[in-house]
Amino acid sequence: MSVNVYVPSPWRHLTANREYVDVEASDVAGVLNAVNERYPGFDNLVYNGEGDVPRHINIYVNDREIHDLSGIATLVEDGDRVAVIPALAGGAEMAENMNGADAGSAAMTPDEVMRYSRHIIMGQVGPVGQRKLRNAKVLIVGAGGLGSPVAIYLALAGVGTIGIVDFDIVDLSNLQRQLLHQTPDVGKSKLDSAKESLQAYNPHVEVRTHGMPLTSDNAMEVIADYDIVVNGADNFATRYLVNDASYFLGKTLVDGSILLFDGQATVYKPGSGCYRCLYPAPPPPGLVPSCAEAGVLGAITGIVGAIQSTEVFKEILGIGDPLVGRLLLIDALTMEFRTMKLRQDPSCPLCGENPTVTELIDYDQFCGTPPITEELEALMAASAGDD
Amino acid sequence: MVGRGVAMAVIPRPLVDEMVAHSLEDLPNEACGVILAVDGVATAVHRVPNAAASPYRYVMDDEEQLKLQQRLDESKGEETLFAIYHSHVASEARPSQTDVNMAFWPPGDISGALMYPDAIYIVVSLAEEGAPVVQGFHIIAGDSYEACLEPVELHFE
Repeated sequence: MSVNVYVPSPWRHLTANREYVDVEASDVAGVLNAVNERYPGFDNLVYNGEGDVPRHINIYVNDREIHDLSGIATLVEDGDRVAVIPALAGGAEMAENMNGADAGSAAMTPDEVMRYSRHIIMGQVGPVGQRKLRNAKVLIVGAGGLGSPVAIYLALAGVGTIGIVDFDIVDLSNLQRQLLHQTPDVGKSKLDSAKESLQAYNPHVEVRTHGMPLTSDNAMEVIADYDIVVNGADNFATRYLVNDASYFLGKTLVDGSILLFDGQATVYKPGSGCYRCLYPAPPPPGLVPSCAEAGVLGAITGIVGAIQSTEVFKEILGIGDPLVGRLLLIDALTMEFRTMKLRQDPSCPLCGENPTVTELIDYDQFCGTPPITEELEALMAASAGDD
Repeated sequence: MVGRGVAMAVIPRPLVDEMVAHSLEDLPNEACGVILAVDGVATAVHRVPNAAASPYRYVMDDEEQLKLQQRLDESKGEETLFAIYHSHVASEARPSQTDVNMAFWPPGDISGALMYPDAIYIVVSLAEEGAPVVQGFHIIAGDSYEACLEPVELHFE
């Protein structure tokens, strides 16, 4: 059976400049062998070291590429035309990244480009910005009211690594606002529920879970692995702890809080003020009610969480003016957004001129709250835990 | 290896505009294509779909490549491959290490055989918004990435 083989111009030095070679064979492998017999060396061009046809060579039988057929086992008939095309390829990407050695800087797949196209098309993001998002590692403290929208928007945007700290169980009373969890999740750990939700939203994102209360013993270790910290904690002790640890580690802290119809958001960068500059001491225990005690509008968590995720997005990309040195105050009843100027306090015990807090302290004692014991943990898990 | 010496080429301005327009249209991905010449004079830009559809890679659509190749064959040497162009969406107008590697066969064998030794490799850089840069190079066999690149002075007329 005679098959007509089309030789691409880069390889014609082997075939005495012939464009076409006629050979007898019954499948593509046979065709390639036959050409190689006549023009030794042809094999070396087509096959790689493992004896496979690499992906940058396309072989057509008539008008169909053999990867869509049966590969080199594709049968050929008398009069068929076989064409061999080495890909013309390249690109800005560095060669070492093509092997996937550095997954963070590997090329985006067509699927990723499509998924993120509404971001990539914006001048402030572009392919380079999208890659920055993929390389970013963000820690979210709390998988509750604030943590939910933050985690979801960051996952949707393609932030490559999202860490979540939480040790709570999904309670029915959480579902009024905590977008990560749905009715069938009640009774599950919030981390499991959060991870499932985020991976359903975007399987390209790595979700790291930290299923324990953040304490002075573990906070530095947990936070050190991330670039940016988002605070969605529901208690003052954790807020001071996260503030201090982020400051010591030089991490940007994107803070947000909510109660009733009110929300607040700001960004602390080491050297530009911290939570202690704003609130040097916690309120006496019991003075400020928690969301569980006073209530909170579900949608305000979405507003503040969306603002926090926007600030994270800006910080990763290095665009716009961050909410640093400003405290955004939101009143959902009047729907007024106000910004207060914050200044770094020179007498701040943490980031001031003469700091007295030079390492993590006992935050439960500092805030006058009972430390988390196993008993309390069990109680919290059993009752309506918030955020 | 010694370069071919004549490091200069003339490209009609409309062809340059067409390459830049193609590159901008295909954002955020890299665009790719070829310039064909008749009797050695650059005459037409042919866009080729980027099968990789990536901001960092291009792979010319193989069917389109086959068609172009057969068209050149049929012209019996009158029409030739003048240049291979692609865009860099965020980096400079200079072939990357990947571009150099892929110009050889087998890919990466930079002291070996070039696929298209006579073609000018043109890179359209869109790194600077509103100010695209178009530069040409000959890729030659060498022992390092730098040694493989020989600038071609492009004249847009």
